[in-house]
Amino acid sequence: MSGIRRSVGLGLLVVGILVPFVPLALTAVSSGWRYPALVPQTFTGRGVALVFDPDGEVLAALLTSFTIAVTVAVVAALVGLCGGRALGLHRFRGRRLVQFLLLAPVLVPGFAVTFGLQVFFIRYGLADTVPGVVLVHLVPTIPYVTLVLGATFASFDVSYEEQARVLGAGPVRTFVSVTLPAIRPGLCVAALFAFLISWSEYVLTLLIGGGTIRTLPLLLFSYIGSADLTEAASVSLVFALPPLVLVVAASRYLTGAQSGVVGLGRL
Amino acid sequence: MGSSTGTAVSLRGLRKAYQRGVPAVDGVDLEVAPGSLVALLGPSGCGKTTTLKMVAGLLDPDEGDVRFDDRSIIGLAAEKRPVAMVFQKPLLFPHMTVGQNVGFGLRVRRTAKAAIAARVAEMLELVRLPDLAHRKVGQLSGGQEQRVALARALVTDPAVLLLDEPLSQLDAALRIEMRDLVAGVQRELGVTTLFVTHDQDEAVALADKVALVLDGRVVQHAEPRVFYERPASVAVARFFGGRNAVPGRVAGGRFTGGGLDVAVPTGTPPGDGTLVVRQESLALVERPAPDVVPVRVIAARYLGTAMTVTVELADTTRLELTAPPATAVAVGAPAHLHLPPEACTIVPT
Repeated sequence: MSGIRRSVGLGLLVVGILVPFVPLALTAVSSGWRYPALVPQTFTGRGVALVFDPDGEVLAALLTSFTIAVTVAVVAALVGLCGGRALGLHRFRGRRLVQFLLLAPVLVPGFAVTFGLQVFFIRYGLADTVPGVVLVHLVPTIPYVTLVLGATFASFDVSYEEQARVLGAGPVRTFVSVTLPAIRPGLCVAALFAFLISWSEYVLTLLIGGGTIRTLPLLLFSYIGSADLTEAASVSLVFALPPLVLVVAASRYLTGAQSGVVGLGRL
Repeated sequence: MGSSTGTAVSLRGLRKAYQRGVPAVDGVDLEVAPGSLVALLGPSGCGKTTTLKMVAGLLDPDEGDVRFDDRSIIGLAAEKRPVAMVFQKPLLFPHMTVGQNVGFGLRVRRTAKAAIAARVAEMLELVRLPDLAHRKVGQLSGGQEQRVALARALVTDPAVLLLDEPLSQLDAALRIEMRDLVAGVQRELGVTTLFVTHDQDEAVALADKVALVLDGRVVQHAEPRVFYERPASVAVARFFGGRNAVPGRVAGGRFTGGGLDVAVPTGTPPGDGTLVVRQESLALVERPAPDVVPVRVIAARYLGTAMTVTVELADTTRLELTAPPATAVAVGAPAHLHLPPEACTIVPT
């Protein structure tokens, strides 16, 4: 592609992603914005103060959301590494069935699944706890992560591992020095998916967290319900920006051919 | 390790089945002399790569033993065995430079950096690719890649070098160049080498000894010329391109069959047997003489550097022979075929 076309495409992309944030950002700092004014007439720091209050619930929810999403991404990636390797590298009896069963939690509405699971979470004392919420977030994330890593492993040549081993590398060294660099793009995308799914999860968090575990989506809903647009817009920004930053960072990291392979492109 | 004196390799009764009841390797016995280069030759699917992987430790045999200098290495993990292996594909690690690839085996052994650099340079020199250490792997040609793979395998000074068809993906001219390089490097280092190939020319040109593997067994293990002069069976003779096999009987020191009556070497067991003779050992001559049998010419095909002539014996058994390209033959006419008894081998039917 020529340089000009590339620049235009990039510009359109940036405009498409960033423009919707402009009214949101303006609302977050305005105290009154009535028709037919094009820009807000009066400004306030109320939204900013709410978000950055060190003892406030927004920063607390941000921390909770972040902790849960990162944990979910790491655990789902670890589980998906094992499952994806088995699905991608081995042709075993019942492989199709396993693939289908993996997708089952995604096909059935999460609400239905979690209603059934809730009993067990209460019985084992996991309801209303962070570990409980992490666990229930693994239900919709592990299928995606496993399928992405399954595809990654399917295009990985295991002979590289055999080559490393006959050169004297043990299983751990082989994984770290040879396998991991080869599957890193897929692994990053899989973990990113898991993070994003967990980050925006509402129903499952509400059911298992029982309102005690307040993640950003839960907080956002209560602010939207309160009809204070300034505060709701401020919390929305806090909710929307971290995933955006993460996706941009990931696409920078997975440059060139790699990003093409995993469908992220170069932003 | 330390290959200066060479390591003897012994395979005893190796067996491996991937599916129950379908053996890939069905009792391989092989003794490899220290410092020698043995080719495991066979058609694809005969079990030669499986055998090599069992020596490398990448597969566990169902039965049998692998011994280096008379010490069993069964149960030793691949990374603990003093072997190095070069595969069909170069398998250079794409995220490393040429130098990092060659030095991989030393890095996992925690060798000092300066020592690694020196050794890597030495190995690249050995495979005639000096000054390439900083090159990216993607910038190499196919032949260069395979040479880097060879350097990477040799860098740890392995006791046994395993080569799994490393030349099969190269084009013809490059293959011969690489073949000479492998032979030269192997002789220089004196490392005991097992070389898997399906190409009999490659095996014959490269190896001190050839082990022909058919259906998961070593059917003959000998110096290359023996496969042409004294094949162990009709199948061996056919694999090496032999065209002539005449079934018959051995009795009283003579072979009879197909209208032939030939003296056989003393010690040939009497009973049913098949006479095998190379097409290159036969010749058409002007007139009857000792060891000459009457035949009729059936067909002649001109091949540029030689001529393939098909003749028929008294009882319609056909033999093929290779003649000089200028030979004048009349198709359909009687002729005289020289059949030297010393070129004939009687094998079990």
